[in-house]
Amino acid sequence: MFGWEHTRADIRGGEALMIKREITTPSDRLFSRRRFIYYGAALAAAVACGPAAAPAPGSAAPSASGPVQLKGTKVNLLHWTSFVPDEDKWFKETLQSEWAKPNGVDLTIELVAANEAQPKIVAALQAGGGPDAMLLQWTWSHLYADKLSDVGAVAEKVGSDGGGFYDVMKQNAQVQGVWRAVPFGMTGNALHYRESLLKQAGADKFPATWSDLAKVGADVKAKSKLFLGQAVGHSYGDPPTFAFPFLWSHGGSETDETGKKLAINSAATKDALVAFKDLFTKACDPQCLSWDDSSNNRAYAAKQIWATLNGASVYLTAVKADPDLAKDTQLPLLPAGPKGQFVLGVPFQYAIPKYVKDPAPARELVSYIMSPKTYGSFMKAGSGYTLAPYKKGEGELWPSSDPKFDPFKKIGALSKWYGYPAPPSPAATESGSKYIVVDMFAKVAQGETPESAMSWAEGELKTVYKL
Amino acid sequence: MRAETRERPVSAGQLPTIGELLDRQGVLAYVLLLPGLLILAAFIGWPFVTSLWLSVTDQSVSTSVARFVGLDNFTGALKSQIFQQTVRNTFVYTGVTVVFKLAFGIGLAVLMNQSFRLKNLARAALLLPWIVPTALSAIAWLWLFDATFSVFNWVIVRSGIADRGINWLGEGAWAMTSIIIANIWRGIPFFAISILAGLQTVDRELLDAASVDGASPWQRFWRITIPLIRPVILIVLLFSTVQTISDFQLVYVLTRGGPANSTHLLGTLAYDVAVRAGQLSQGAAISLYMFPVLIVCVVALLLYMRRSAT
Repeated sequence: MFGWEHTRADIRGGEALMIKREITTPSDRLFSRRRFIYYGAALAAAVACGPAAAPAPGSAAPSASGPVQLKGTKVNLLHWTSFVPDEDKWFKETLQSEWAKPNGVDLTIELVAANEAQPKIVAALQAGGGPDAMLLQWTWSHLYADKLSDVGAVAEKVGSDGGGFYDVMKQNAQVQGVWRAVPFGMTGNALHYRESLLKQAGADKFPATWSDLAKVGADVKAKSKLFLGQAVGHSYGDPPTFAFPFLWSHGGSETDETGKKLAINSAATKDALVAFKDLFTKACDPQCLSWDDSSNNRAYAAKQIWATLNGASVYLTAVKADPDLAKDTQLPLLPAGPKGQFVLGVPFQYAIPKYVKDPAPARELVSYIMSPKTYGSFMKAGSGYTLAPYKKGEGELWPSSDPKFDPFKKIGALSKWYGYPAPPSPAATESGSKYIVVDMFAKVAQGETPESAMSWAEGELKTVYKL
Repeated sequence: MRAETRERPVSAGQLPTIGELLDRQGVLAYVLLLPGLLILAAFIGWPFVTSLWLSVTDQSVSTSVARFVGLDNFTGALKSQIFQQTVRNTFVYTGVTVVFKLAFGIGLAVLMNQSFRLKNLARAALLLPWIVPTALSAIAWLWLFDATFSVFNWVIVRSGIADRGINWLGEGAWAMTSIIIANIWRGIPFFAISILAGLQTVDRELLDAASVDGASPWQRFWRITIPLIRPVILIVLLFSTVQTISDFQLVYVLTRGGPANSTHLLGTLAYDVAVRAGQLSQGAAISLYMFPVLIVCVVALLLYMRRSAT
């Protein structure tokens, strides 16, 4: 027989018949099952040992003292994808050409959508490996504090060079007096509205209070058939930057100033929810309940709504794509409630995880980006979409000559944080991540009574704050 | 070519060589199974054991050393109204989608079992919703349900059915309906193709004999076809239940559990709690609430398969 030879090998007890197949040709021997296993094991061993055996290219030499040796080092930066593409371009091109290449650093910039950044960050921190520097949002520094390096030296210098950080930036990045992150900046949200439609409805200026906005919004809706498009869905930016200031401006909050006592179930919160119900019913539209951070951008650009709360990306996009719409757009900050005017910007900070063995190159990178000179170039590239974390940002670094942009200058000083009026905390961050306050407003918009929504929120906050 | 055989007699007391060990089918079987077992252990066994451990600790992203807290995470979840709503959502979502997928799947399978032109092309096209990556098809559905740009709403308004479109993803009941529609669309091919395979094993002679005896088409289908393909239907049902109850991608892309948690499933809530809020142990406990349901499905499936085999 040629090739496979089948032989009757054994018969035991007349029951089993075993056919033994012998390998008989050189080519068969090369690919026999036994050899397949040998080759497989060898390949697996090679794959397993390969990375460990070879030295990591460009591994950094730790700098115990003196200037940091950057040449030949490798830095991986996890960053968010901005709603203004020129900001991403600045990172991918300018930062590469002006810092990475001259210093001989192999810089990898991973850009991820804002809603997708957290899974990557959590996975890296939990696995103990990943990016050398990562851009955190909100008060995440408090949530991950134990796994982040102390970056006090960099933060102090950046703050000092930049004329001092805004209080909100310090609150977000400092955990119990230790800088767990270096403030990067903030996307400030302002209302974008079409002036022509406001005037058409008989108003000569944008309402200064929430109650006036409900009335004017109803008039504009009646006249133009367009509504105030406020996102109240599960998304990182626009829904919370509306819901929290609305609550605060009516005197409501999750907890008291100490953060040790829940305050959500209160007359002030009820006032806020009643006022919101009035605004939502008269001036908004239920479809906003499903909106995320990009839905309102699209709707405004398509002229399906007359006003929306957003970062300046809506306006900046219109400047390029639809100059007439941009010309008609005005950018006031949120109206005031009975307890004043409040703003919640979306803050960002650079953190360097503790798992990074040589954090010096990452610290150099952050120092470079955050130095006022570099940051000025970044702000210019992004036309001021991301606001500086320090006071020079609204002064000498201010990139825009467009007076419509002036309200954004106030956001750094006005903005509060998750957990306000208490200091930021992991619980407040967790509550924000679970959209409890946003959902409390959404429930009222869906028809629940303010009392029921408040009671629901209180129940959820009790679990989060463990109070 | 010269045929050659190798013979290596093993004398008593001498250890067999690796080659001789591999020649023993019992040993070889385990060696060949080993890579698969290692993969299962690494990517299913280990994460499962880890999640079991996490669920009885207070591990969060920020804690370095976790403390044992017993069943606190499980009892804590039960107290949360979001969790209670999520459990209800999960059962409604699974129950409704599985029933519709079964009904449409059988209908489509019967249709595809007929002879018509371009039958093979139609069968291939039938699989498309199942082949397309879920995240991709979910984005297409997102646009179809988009509050401002929905094609469905455009048709509804333009055809004069209503003055304004449906708030697909912005109103609790409609949002649940939307994710159910998308899931049914995606799941029908799995039912249809599996049941079609079952239909093709039905002996034509049985149907012809029943026809001669005066059985109506409905009687033939209900009394002969369905009992014969029952094993296939049962297995497909169980598989689909397991897949649907642990669904994540579709809901995450379409609603992220909103509005106001009205579409949260156990998978999406566990993700939000564990990853977004950083409470890994609580997230693990929430995801493990799926386990009893899944284990019932798997045991039922195994029992049925064993009974069929005997």
